[in-house]
Amino acid sequence: MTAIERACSLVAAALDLGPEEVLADGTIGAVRGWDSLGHVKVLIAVEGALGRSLKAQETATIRSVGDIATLLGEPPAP
Amino acid sequence: MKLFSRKGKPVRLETERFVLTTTNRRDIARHSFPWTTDPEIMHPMGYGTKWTMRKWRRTYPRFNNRTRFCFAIRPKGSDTVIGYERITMDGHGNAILTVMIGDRGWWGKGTVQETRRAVIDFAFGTLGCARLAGYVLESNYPSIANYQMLGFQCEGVNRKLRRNLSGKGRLDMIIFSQLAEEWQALREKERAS
Repeated sequence: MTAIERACSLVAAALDLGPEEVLADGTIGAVRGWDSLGHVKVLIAVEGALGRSLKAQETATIRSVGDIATLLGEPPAP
Repeated sequence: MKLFSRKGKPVRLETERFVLTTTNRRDIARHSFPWTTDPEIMHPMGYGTKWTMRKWRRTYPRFNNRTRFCFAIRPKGSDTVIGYERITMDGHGNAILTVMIGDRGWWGKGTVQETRRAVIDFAFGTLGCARLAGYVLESNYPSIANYQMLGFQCEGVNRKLRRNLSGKGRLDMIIFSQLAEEWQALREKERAS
């Protein structure tokens, strides 16, 4: 599974959506349920997938499935 | 000095679901004081939950409706204040935005998106601001989302600026900003689509 596919399924699971409802070009505000409260669920799911808390700079720049895929695709910190 | 002490006229903004009217700090403190005991409202703003009315009132500046505005948000057809939007402008056309939605019944319903759009239009259009900024604690995910959805860019981070009132350690403060031309471009894009 690629990072973008993982990001899509992560967002879909966090927002309780079907996998077909979150596409690779999905963004905050455009995906159903990805609003201010939905964003809390998405960021908590990202933290769960990474196994660590997000840094402020990361939190501030996650606004799309692509941004999440970039984070998930990074090698784990040593 | 007279110029700076002169007050502007009251301002009224209207959105699809809400009416925003400028108000004063005494009324703000009186209406919002019951919210100060709720950690879910106060901690994301970096405030604790033990206040007296006098101390709470003093956290607000005097709003002059020229450079400092505080809008009470009321649903149309209701007298109940559900929150406040603030604009604080300096002499260089920079303004800082602040919001507080104290009525939990309006959380998760696009309230801030709708009211802040009107406030941003007012700040750029009527006040002639060149730049708007918002300061958000890193743990305040809903507020971060609201700035992102309105096209604000992350400018940077003030590291470990505040104590974490809901947990251990300290929290970074994220700085979001938007320029007048960016907002105009966003609005034109929305109209075109």
